[in-house]
Amino acid sequence: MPFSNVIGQERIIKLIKNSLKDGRIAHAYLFVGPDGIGKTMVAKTLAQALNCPRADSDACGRCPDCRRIEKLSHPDVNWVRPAGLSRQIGIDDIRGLRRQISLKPYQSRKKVYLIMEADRMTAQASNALLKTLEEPPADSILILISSHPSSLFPTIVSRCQMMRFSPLSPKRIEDYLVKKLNLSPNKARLLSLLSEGRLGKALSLQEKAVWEEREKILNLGSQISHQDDLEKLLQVAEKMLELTSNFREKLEERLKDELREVEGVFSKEQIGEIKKEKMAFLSGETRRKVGEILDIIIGYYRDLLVFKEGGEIINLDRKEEIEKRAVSVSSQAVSKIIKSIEETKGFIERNVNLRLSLEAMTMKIAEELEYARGSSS
Amino acid sequence: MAYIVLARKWRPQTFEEVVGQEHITRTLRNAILSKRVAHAYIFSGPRGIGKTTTARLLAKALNCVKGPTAKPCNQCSSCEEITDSASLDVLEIDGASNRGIDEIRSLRENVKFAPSRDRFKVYIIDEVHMLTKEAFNALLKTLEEPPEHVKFIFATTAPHKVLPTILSRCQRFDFHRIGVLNLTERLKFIAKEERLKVEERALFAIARGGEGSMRDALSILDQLVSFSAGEKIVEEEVNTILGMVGEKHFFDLTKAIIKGDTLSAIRLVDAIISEGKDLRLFCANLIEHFRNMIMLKVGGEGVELVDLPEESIKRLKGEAAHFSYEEIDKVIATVSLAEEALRRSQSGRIPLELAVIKLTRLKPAPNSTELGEKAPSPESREETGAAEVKAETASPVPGPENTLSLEKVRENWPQVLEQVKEKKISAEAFLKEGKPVKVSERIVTVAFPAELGFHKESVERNEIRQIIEEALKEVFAHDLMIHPILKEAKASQPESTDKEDELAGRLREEPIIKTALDTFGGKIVQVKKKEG
Repeated sequence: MPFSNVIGQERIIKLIKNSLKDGRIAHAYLFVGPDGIGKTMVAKTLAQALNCPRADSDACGRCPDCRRIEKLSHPDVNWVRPAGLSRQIGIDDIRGLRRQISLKPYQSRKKVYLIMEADRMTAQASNALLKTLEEPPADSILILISSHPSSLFPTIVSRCQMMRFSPLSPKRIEDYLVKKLNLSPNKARLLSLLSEGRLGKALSLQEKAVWEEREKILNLGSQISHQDDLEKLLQVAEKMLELTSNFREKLEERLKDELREVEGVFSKEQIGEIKKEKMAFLSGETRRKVGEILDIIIGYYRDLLVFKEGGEIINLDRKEEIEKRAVSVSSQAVSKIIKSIEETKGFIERNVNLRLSLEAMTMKIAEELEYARGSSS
Repeated sequence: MAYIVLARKWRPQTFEEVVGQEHITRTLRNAILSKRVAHAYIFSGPRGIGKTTTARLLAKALNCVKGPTAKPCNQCSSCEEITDSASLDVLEIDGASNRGIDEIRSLRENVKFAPSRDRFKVYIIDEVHMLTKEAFNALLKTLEEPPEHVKFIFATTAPHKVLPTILSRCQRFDFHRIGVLNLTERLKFIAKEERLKVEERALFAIARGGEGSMRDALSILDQLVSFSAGEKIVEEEVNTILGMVGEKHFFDLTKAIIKGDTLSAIRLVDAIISEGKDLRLFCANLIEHFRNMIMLKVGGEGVELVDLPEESIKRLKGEAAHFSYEEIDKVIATVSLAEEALRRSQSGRIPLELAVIKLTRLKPAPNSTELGEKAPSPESREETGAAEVKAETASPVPGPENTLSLEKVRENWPQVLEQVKEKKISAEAFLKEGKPVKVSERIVTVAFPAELGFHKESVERNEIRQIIEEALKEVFAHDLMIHPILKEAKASQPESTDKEDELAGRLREEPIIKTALDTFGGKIVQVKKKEG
C-alpha cells in the first residue's frame, strides 16, 4: 500500500520518501513510539517501496512484490519477532539473521529485515547484532521497531537512524473519525481526547462493548462519595472486581481453547510448560486490566482537578457532573485521591490482594471527599 | 552504489582525524615511532566515540607498506584492504557472535601461522565483553605471550565485564565522551565537505543530541539531510527529529512555576502533547534544565558543566536566582516521579499534568492558602498555615536566632506526620499518638499518653527516630532531635510551655527520679535526650 494510506506521520514519511528519491536510505532504522500509531505500517510500506518495480519512491500495493510483502510471504523481506515462553528474541534468531543476510536477495533489489519489538532482544542477541547493524551487506536494510526504546542497548540505538513516531494531534483523529466513520463531532472530539493521539486506541474505544464498559467504570467512580455508607463503597469495589473477573473469565476461556488445539500435538511436559506460560499471561493481563480501570477513574478525578484550575476537561460527556462536583471539593482532596489511586495501581502491580486494595481505595477516596465536604461547609 | 551513511563515510582514516581522543592517539603514535607497540590493547568507552576506528587505524599503521608508521598512507593495498575490511592479515572478529570456547580454540590454532603478506597479523575483537568465561580463559596463554607477528586489539563498551586476568595482560585505553564543542567542530567540517547548509545553532543542537557520541551525532545529521531535501537545516528541525521540546517551553514552564501560574502550566502541557512530543524525553530534559540551574548556582567550576550556548546560560542564571537549592531539589524529585509514572500509566498526559500542578504550587503564592503538596492531615484540614511553612522550608536560615516556638511546631505537626508517613507508615502510626509539648533549641519533646508506653518506645527505636528527625528537618529546615516522653495519667493540667525547668519540675514528680533524688540528695541540672 502506498505511503498515502498511512494516517499522520507526515514528517517521517516525507523523510523516507526524500531518502528514497535521493538514494540516501540508511542501512539501519529504528522506529520508536507508542503502540497504535503506524510504526509497523510505515515499515512495511518502506519494505514494499524498496522492492516495488512500479511505483517511484513509493509502493504501488498491487504488484506481486507488494502483495507478497503485505501477506508477509516475500522471500527477501524477513520478520523477526519475539517467541517462545519468555517472549524474547534470542541469540539464535540473530545468528540466523546473520547467516541469511550475507546471501544475495532471491528476486528483488533489497533484502529487508524487520525486527519487531526489538526491545525484547536478549543481551546476547543485542550484542550479536551490533556488527551487522553497523555494517550490513550493501543490499540489505534492517528496520527495528520498538515501543519501549529505553530498554534497548545504547550501542544498538547509536547504530540506527532513529525515527520517532509521534502521537497524532487530537484534531487529526477527530477529523478522521468524522469523515471516515461518520461520527458526530462531539463524540469524535471526546474520542480524540481520550485516545491521546493513538488512532488504534480511538478506534477500539469506538466499539460498543468498550464504550459501555467505560460508562460503567465512570459511573462506579462517581458513586464513591459518602464515607459512612460503607455498604455502598464495598459494592463499588465489588463491581470493579466483577468487571475484572468477567475479563479474566473470557480470556481464560480463549486460552483454554488454544490449549485444546495443541493437545496431542505436544508431549505432556510441553503442554505443562505451555499451561504455565498461559497462566502467567492470564494473571498479567488481568492486572493490566485493573490498571486500565483505575486509569479511567484517575482520568475522571484529573478532570475535577484541572477544571478547578481552569483547564480543559477530557471526559466531555461528563462535563456537567464534573463541574458540579468540582465546586464541593478542594484541589488538595482531589490530588490526594489521585495519589491514592496511583498507589493502588502500584499495589496491584506488586500482587497485593485485589479485593483488599480496591476496597481500601474506595474508602480512602470517600474519606477524602468527606473531609472536603466538612471543611467547605 | 548503495548509499553509505555519514558515520561510515567519514570514519577517520588517520590518527589526526580522530576527535576528542588525543590522549590515546598521541600515545599510540609515539609507541609506533619508538617501536614500543604492545602485543595486546583493550579500548574501552561508550558507543560511537572511535574505538573500532582507532583499532583499524592502529592495524593500518602497523601493516602499511611504508610502515610501521604513525601516518599510514591509505594508498597501498594493505591500507585499502583494511579500510574495506578485506585484509587477510587483519581479522576483525565480532566477539558477540563468536563468543564460545570453540571459536577461541580455532583462533589459537591460526595464531601461529605467519601473516600472508603484511608485517603483522592483527586480531581486532569487537564487543569483547560478550566472550564467555571459558573463552576468555582459553585465550589467556596466547594473550600473554603471542607469537611475535601477532597483535591483539580488543574493543568494548563494558570493560567491567572483561575478566581481570584479561585486562591485566593488555594495555588499556579509556576513550572519553566527545565534548559538545569538539563534536560541533567536526560536524561543521563534515557539513562543509558535503556541501550541506546547516545553521550554526542547529549544529550545536545536533551535537547535544549526540550525547558525546560522534556516530549518534552523524546519524542525526543524516536524517536531517534527508528531511530538509536541500533546504537549510535549522535548529527547530533538529528538535523535531529528536522529539525534543524547544528551549522556549522550558523557560515558559519555569516562568509559570515562579509565578505560581497553574493554568498556563497546564496549557503548556497540552501544547506539548498536541505537538506530539516525547513526554518522557520532556521530563528528562526538564530535569536537566533544573540541574543546569543548580550548576549555575554553584558557580565556579559548575558553570563549565553546563553545555549550553552563552545566551541560554544568561537566561538560565536569571531564572536560577528565583529558586533555592531545596526548591530545585523538589522540582527534580517531582519530575522524576512523573517520569516514573509515565512508564506505568497508559496515559502520558495525566502524570505530567499532576506534576506541573504540583510544581506551580511550589512557591508560596501570596493570595493562595491552598497548597497541593502540603495537604494537611485530618486535624488541620481547615488550617491555612501551610503557606508559611513552605516559605520556611524554602529559605532556611539555620542558626540560633531562628529558634522554633512550640506553637509553630504544633501548627506544623500535621506536616511532620505527613512526611513521616511518606517514609514509613508504621512510624507515623506510632508518632500520631503523641503531642509535641515542649521545644527547645534542638529538641522537640513529644508526650504520649501514659498507657501507650509501647508507642513511646517504638519512637525511641533508632530507625524510627531517624525517620522522624529527617521529617522534622524537612519541615522546619532545622536539625532537631525528638524526645519522646510518657504523659502522667493526671496530665489534664495545661501542657507545659517553653521553659526547660518546667520539664525538670515534672520529672521531679516521676517516682523513680524522685526516689533517686531523695536517695542521693541530688538535683536536676539539665534535661537531655537519651542517647542511642
